[in-house]
Amino acid sequence: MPTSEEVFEKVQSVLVDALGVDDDEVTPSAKIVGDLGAESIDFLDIVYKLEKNFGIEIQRSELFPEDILSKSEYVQDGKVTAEGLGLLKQRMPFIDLTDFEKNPKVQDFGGLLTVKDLCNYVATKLS
Amino acid sequence: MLPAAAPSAGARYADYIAESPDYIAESPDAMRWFWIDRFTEFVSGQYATAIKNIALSEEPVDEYVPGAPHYPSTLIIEGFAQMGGLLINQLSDFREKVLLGKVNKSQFHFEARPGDQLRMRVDLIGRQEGGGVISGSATIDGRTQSEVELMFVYLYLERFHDNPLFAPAGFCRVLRLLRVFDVGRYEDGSPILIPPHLLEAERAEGLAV
Amino acid sequence: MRFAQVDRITEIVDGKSLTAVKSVSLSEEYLQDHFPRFPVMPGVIMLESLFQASMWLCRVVDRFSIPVVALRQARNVRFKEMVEPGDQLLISTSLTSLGERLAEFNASGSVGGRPAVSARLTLERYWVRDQLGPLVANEEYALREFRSKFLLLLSPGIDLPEEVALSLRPLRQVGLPGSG
Repeated sequence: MPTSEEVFEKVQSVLVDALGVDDDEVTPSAKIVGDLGAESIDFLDIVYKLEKNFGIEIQRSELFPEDILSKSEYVQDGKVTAEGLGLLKQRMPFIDLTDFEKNPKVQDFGGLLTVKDLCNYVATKLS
Repeated sequence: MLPAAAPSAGARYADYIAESPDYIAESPDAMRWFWIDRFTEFVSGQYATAIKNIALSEEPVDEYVPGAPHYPSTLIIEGFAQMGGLLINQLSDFREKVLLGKVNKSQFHFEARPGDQLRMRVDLIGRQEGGGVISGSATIDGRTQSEVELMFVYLYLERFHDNPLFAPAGFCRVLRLLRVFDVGRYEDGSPILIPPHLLEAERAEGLAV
Repeated sequence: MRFAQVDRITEIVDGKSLTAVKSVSLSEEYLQDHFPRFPVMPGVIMLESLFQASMWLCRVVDRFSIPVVALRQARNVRFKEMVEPGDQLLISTSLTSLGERLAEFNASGSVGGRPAVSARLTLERYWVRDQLGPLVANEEYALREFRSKFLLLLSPGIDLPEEVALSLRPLRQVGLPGSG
């Protein structure tokens, strides 16, 4: 089991490589979309590089819960319902949804993921 | 993370191409946008090698740098992308289409010039839901000229299949001309045959023997 | 100038950044084949536009003194939006690092306000003699050609630094070996 520092360093190098950003930009609290400028094509790249670097297999739906966010029963007026939030928490325990819950607009969900969340995700896959 | 509500820009790009299923070749003229000359090896799901000759009479070469012409490096990327795209396409008997989504990296050590022969190789190094990754390198007279890593995104399969406008006969002509079925092998050494749906399309045009 | 993928240079700021326009026309060769029914600008041609805009900025920085400016690296090149006949790709590139031979750029292109492509580029400037042997006349010829092409692309009213303007004064005839 790599230590959390080792996980962070590898995730950092993956993001530096995939997004062309500098080391010091990739802080634990940096938002991968908002701060590091990741776009949809980059996530394919990031997933590929994480799988290769950590020897893990990543299910798309674990990181991209489109199946939940696009279902009408979990979304009302562009906001995720309580039931939907419950499912998201269950599926993605590595992501902090405290702020999102206050105003759970579907369109904001894509911008939530931080470097720390991604490290947590990798750590759960490794354990 | 992918925005879930609105389609992303990348998806729009893929959508658009998906609506032009005859995009590789409907007429023989489409060969002008091919930046390899022929495959020399093609191992299903693994790797492919190809030759690309650089000629002074090629449109983009002659006046690119007046007095010292060379072949534009971006077209070397396109050659790798075409090789990688076909390597991935073959896995679905050339039914699926992939699109170059990202050039992760590319490096050119020196210029390819008229009279040079580029020997290109691509390896399929990653496959995943929604895409694939290839690495590529090319040599000229044994010296490494370029190295790339490219990422492809799959187009939407079901829309592609349902599209009656698909004209695979022209595409099959391209594959034949590039020698895919002459050199193509599976890992166990058995040959890659022309898929029945392409043969059928040729027959429908009265072309197949 | 057959593979020119920049049609107009619209702004140059302090030798640090440059904006340019690539107009996409249905009559362009590559659009006949890419693709027969749905002509769209190939991704690598968008990349070529970013390279050429950066190449012009590089030449301005070098005051048109080095004949060859070539692409050494293109990284994180992301294709985001279709570019169709009738569209104009608005290109913007900025110099991020300048070494003796290598220069690095951040470049991007947009169509109708939407991002279409972005890339990080490394260019190398060198003399023809470094790769092809002592071709002095060809070096002179290349320099003259690039200077006149640049003037052709430059929008009216763009102020150039004096040294750059001086380097663009009408040039002597093609140099013969020994005259350079």
